[in-house]
Amino acid sequence: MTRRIVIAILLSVALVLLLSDLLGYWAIRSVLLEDLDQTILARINTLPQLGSESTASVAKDPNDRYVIENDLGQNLALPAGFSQQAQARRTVLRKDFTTVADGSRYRTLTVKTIAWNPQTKADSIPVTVVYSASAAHFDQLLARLLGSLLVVNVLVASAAALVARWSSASALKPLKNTAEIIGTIDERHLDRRIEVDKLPTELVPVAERLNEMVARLQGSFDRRRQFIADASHELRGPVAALLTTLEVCAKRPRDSEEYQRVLVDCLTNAQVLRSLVQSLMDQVKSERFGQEVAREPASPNEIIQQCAVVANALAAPLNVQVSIHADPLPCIETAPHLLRSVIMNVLTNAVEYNRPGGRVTLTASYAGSQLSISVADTGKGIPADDLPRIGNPFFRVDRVRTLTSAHHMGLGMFLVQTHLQTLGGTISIQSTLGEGTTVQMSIPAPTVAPVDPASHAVST
Amino acid sequence: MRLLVAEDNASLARSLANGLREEGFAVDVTSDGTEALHFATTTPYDCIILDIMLPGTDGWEIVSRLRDAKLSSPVLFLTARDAMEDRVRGLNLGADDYLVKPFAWEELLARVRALLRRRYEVRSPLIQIADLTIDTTRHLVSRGGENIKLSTREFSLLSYLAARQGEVVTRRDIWTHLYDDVDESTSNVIDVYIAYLRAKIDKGRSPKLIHTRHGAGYVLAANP
Repeated sequence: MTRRIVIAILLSVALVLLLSDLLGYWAIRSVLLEDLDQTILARINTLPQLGSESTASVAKDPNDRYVIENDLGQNLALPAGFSQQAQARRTVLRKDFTTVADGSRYRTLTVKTIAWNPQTKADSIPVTVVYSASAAHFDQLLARLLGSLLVVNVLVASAAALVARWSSASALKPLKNTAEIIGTIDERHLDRRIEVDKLPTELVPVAERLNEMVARLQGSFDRRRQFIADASHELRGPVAALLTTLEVCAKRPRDSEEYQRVLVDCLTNAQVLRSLVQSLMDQVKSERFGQEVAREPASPNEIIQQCAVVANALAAPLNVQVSIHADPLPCIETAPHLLRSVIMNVLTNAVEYNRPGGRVTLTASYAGSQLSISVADTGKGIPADDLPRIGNPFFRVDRVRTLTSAHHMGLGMFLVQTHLQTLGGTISIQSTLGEGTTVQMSIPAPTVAPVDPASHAVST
Repeated sequence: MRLLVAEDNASLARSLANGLREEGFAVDVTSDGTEALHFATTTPYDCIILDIMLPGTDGWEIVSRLRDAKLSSPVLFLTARDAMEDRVRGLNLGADDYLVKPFAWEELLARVRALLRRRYEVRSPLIQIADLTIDTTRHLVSRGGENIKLSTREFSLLSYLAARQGEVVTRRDIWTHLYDDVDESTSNVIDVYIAYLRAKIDKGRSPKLIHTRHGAGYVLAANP
């Protein structure tokens, strides 16, 4: 960039110099030439053959040559006593440069005038004087002019180049510093920012956008780092249990009953690990496919029905009653597996965190291209302090982990939020301790067909 | 030596207890933090192996409550967090050591034994009384260069007496430190094991090392 700016400045300086050189050279040359021609004319006027009325004598160069011709172009020897008529109109016929055999240049003026005898004031004879004077001095002056122009030009151009370099370098210095800062930003130094206040105003918007981008990346890296830390934390428990159980068991021979018990223990821990890995994979998938999730027509009633079957199966042994109140919903354009995962997680949470004999009520409606689903339970509720953290990965209201609820990794609500984000939906949770929790979700979904008359409100 | 294991992963807790019992320790187990705190305040455990994330009362709370009550049982934290601030926090609250999950069984044993040595101010895992040598790590006992084979119970009793050598160890002490809640032995079992030890260690040898203080207890020492 610096080189480009320097070249551009140099080119424009050169153009200006060239133009001013041409103009100056032409002007000075015409003044000098005019002067030379006047000198030659003066010399013609004092030619001895033509005589001169003026008493002023002009020093003649010994190299000057001249011929006097008559009208016919013949050499004319004027009779003695003849001189130029004082009032005669002298007409310059031609002005040109001639170069003779030895290479020296001459300025030749061809002047038409009238000669006469001033005594008799008769016998006027038209004559043509061809006078050549050496142009050496003129050429010398011009050469000197050219030389000094050249020197001045080179000096001016170099100065311009230096100024251009310096000014572009100083103008680009903040950019260079910025580039250095950007160069040091990597995944371990995402807290670095470009110093916007030290930048020229033109660059401020770019720098601000860059800073915002780095901040977004930092946030996402921090969330990722936290997720990995939490996930490895969750993995340690079951891995420690597996290893210790096997190590202690392997220390000495056991009876088959003991081996059986150890195997069951190991299997339980392995199952916990499996469901953890599954949850992690779900999370990775939901992240990887982020925004470009495939949408297809799906019936929300059908999806709700599928989830209700699972929730009912879970609810029966816990003596929890699940009621579904869904309007006949239109077929919508959505990502069915995400929608299913959202409803399934919220519904099974409501069942599993309920009290024996409790109720879970799901209501669903569709209005203004929005699918609204609310799930209310009669569980123990969520403390207000914990509500903002409910969507954090691995967050559990009670930290009790039991092997019978191995799939409670604290990832359910995290996945719900991630999926809802992908679907463009929103979630709000109201909870009263000891009374229960209501999860209200709203998902934008365009209709693909009017209400299917065959579908009807499902009630379980 | 009597240990408390407080760990909410059922299979880890079970394996820890079984493994430690096989090493001759008396072990109580709980999966609940509040219960662990209750156990620890009512029994002078020789070492408490404590998970941090316990339901009820967490490990940090338990340690600071124990130290507030001036109870000095050594605490070994088992933690799934290996962030430095977590470890520092535990040690600052009064824990004596920590081990990050998953850990190697031998390392856990070594650390528990080191804590026990510190508790009884025994410098070396090798205890020497007259010509009796006890290797507490490898469970080897010899007298006058001759190896003596002891059962796990006998070894536990001998190493407890050795840890407190020269002191009068009451029956009640032995009962508290060598028998856990699942043990169904009766209290005269102590006299039986003392008799076994005497037969294996003192019989036909001099000087006698195990002495009875009538009405008080037993002393393991070179001089009566």
